[in-house]
Amino acid sequence: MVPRVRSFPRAVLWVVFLVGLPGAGWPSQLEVAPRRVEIGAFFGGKEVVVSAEIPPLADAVVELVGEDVAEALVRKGRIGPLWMNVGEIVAQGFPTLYMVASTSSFLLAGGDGSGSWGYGKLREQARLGESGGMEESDSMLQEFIKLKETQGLYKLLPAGVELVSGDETAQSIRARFPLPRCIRPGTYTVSVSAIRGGEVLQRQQTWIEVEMTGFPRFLRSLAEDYPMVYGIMAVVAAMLAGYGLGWLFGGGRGSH
Amino acid sequence: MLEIYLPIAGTSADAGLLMGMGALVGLLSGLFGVGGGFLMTPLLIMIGIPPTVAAASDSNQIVAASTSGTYAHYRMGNVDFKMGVLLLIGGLIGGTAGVQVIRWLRGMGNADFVIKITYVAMLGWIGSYMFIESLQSMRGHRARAEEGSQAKRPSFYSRMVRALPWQMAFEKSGVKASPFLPLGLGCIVGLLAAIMGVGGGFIMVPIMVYLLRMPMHVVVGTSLFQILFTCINVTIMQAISNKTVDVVLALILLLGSSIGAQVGARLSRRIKADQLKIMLASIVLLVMIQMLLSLVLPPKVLLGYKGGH
Repeated sequence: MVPRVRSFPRAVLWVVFLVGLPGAGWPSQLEVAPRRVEIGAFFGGKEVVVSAEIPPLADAVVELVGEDVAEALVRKGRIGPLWMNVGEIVAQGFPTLYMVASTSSFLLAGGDGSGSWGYGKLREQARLGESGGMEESDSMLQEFIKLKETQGLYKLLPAGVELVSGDETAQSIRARFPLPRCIRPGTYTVSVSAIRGGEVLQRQQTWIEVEMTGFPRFLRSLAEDYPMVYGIMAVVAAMLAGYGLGWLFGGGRGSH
Repeated sequence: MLEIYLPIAGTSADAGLLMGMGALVGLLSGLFGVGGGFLMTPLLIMIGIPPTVAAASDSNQIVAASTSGTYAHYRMGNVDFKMGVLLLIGGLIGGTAGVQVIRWLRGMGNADFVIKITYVAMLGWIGSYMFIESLQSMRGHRARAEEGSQAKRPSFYSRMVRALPWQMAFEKSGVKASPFLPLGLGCIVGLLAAIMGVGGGFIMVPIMVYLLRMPMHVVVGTSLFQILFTCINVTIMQAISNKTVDVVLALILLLGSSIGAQVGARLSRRIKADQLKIMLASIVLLVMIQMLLSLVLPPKVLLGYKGGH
């Protein structure tokens, strides 16, 4: 199994390492568009297209993965007839975004038994909570994935890799990932793995940057660095808008 | 469809949808004198805004809606400033105490339960009372009931209110009461509002109508005046303490809500007081039922982000 790359320096080491792997002589080409995603005032999500060349007769798994973070969550449970928050758990080692597409739904479903792809991979690398039996952890993992899926942050695309062209030396593939509107700024790893007979023949990797720009960036900085100024500004803006609209509506009548 | 990015919420939303939601809540604000926090916050959460950002940004948009609404009612002579200031002072005292209660409950791990149960109990009680009373009044039972009650001895509440010191006249409302009464009632509303995380308009309005015996149209304007200052305080405190006020979200909502509040204020002059009360009671009861169902029915996902409701 090839470990997942989580940071830039480690990624550089991986590229050096992969060049030395057997099979590094396979056709290699990986392109991502766009490479830089800007979160501006009218950002509503963005489609990222990954194009690559892989060895012939190989299956492809294309992943788009965010940085790992620790998140505090609340667990809901039933007390008497009422559902409420009954405890806190910590999710560790889960990426902020996990999208994976493949030519084979079999691979993403863990059919090869390796657990290297899809949500099986998360089960291997991440942990939920501090203790508890495996059964409970499994159900919590499913709930965690469901929570992320509802936000569009986790997605399995079993038939999401399109074969564009192919011959006896190489095949060109393409995958499309819909970045959700709630994506966080940061570095996201794009990797393409070519698999044949359960063996990883080739793994290519690159990165995309997601950045907040323009007015949203200005407001975010103001709210974080000068919260009192931001709060007063928010109140003044609201009062002016409310008064202005009130004046606009009733100004001409002079009613009392 | 115009997607607008909300930098503090960390997500985007359709500007038309947000304006529509703002207009709906602003209409209620202008009609009934409630801030609409009890309705807007759940609506925002439903479209994917994080709960803490939804609650804080809603306070900011209520500042605009209540500025607009207070101004409209002031022009129509519907704001009792003397009563409003006393209720506000009481509200601030109660709100400060409520924040301490919430801190204590969070320490015990029971805050969510208490918040939701308080919501259901308050909404259920106020909604049912207003609904039944307004229905009886509309059917003409009020006159008979009042005749009957006049023949009897004054109630314990009436005697207690009259026994309070420093009785003073509130000309705009046409009532005479001790300043301790609005101060004390404001304090109770502030306490409940802090626990429930809302402006408290939907509790304040029935209290003004039934306990302070103020006329409905003055109630609406005075309630908006009090809510305006409560929400200014909450917005600034949330921006400083939690950094959860999304001004872009608030500005879009307030565009809709300011227009809605104006329409509501005009409509309120054309609708009879009993009709206004029964409409508000119906909305309060609907929100209560929705909240009760959310407590009783299994949630779709058994995990949530910490900091949400």
